[in-house]
Amino acid sequence: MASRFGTPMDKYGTPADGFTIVCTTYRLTEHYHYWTKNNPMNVQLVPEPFVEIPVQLAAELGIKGGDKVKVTSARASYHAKAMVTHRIKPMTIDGKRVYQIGIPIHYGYRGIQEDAGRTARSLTNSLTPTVVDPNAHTPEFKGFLVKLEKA
Amino acid sequence: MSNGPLQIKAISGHAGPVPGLDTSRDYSVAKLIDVTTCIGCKACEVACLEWNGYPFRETIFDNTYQTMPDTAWNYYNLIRFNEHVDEAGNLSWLMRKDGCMHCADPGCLRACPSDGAIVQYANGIVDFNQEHCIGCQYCVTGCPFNIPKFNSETKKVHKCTLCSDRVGAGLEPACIKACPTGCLHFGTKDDMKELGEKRAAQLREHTSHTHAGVYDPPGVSGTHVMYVLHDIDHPERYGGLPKNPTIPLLVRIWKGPLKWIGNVAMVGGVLGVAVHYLRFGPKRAEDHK
Repeated sequence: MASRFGTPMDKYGTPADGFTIVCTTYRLTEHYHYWTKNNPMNVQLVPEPFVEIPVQLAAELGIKGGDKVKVTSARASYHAKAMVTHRIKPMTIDGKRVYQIGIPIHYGYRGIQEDAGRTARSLTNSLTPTVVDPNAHTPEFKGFLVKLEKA
Repeated sequence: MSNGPLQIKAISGHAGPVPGLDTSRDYSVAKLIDVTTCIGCKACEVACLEWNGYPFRETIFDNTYQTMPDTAWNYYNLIRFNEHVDEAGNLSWLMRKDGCMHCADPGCLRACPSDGAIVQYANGIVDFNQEHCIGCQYCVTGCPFNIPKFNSETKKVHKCTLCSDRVGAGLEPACIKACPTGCLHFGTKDDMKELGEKRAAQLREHTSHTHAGVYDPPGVSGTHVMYVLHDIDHPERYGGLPKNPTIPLLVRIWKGPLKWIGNVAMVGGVLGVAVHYLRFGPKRAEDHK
């Protein structure tokens, strides 16, 4: 059960529209929400936003680690560098191969790196759908569909 | 740990024996790094920088969670991240806290020609005294773990001190203090070895890591920084941890036999000159007219 808003921005991608990749968002141990992008010590540990991409998907799309990529959902797009990894494995769902990618949430509009012009100013949560738990209104940002391309 | 001289030897007006007179203390210290419980949060990296007063630096994303490719003269402590896929396709994400191992037989100390630039304390800590460092970087050659790093501006070499300043005051190193998972332990070498062996036995018995073991390489007579590894047979998977680290042969020959041959040759030369002088007398310039 989930409740949804009804504004024009509340759009949801479907595989038929080309949104074929499952995307999830998460946090890193090195950062705390959106605060620590202003703190040099945390920024030193993880300096830039990235998108974790399974090696198989990266090979299909010709993406190498460190390449700039663009992730597009029905709502917006996000720019970051690619981290090609074995840690996210392709899934087989209903006989079809489905890929998942992951985006840490910690970067965005302003911060040390953003202000220096070293990273894009796009926000992870501009991609995520506005689906919330009807009781507590906890947002559901852990699973939605996107497109992935080299930027 | 520093209060050994203050152990009570005699007490005035006290009936019976002096309490604790027979106790002996083990002053050797060691750090145990249980890589199986490391979550790669890098809190130890930050703690190390803050305690040592080094500045934060600009890093660039390099397709990894690792802060930067290698340790630096002002960055002693680096978590190395490695993805290892075995023959069966199982993935392990290996994290190892890289830094000075504080060898019982330190290659850096053996190779160093400068009086007092590298010292080994009785508790096992190997420490660099930069005021005596002449910047020759022979310690870099002598180290089997590629730890000492040269500062090209000051021409001095630096590495992890195992927080000798903290340990001397009875505190644990800064990295140990910062670790949130308890994967870093600090205590006497014997205690840490025992704790590590216990943890390795637990891993062998209760998990799929049937080759778990403690990394305390005998090639350098053991180290005062030890690891619990998932697979003791393959330490190289953890970002270049050598399987059988030894002090390079060149350093051993050069600081061993070659040094004595050199000394003999030098003394022989002086003796030869003295004998020549006694036998043939001083050499005089010929008189050209």
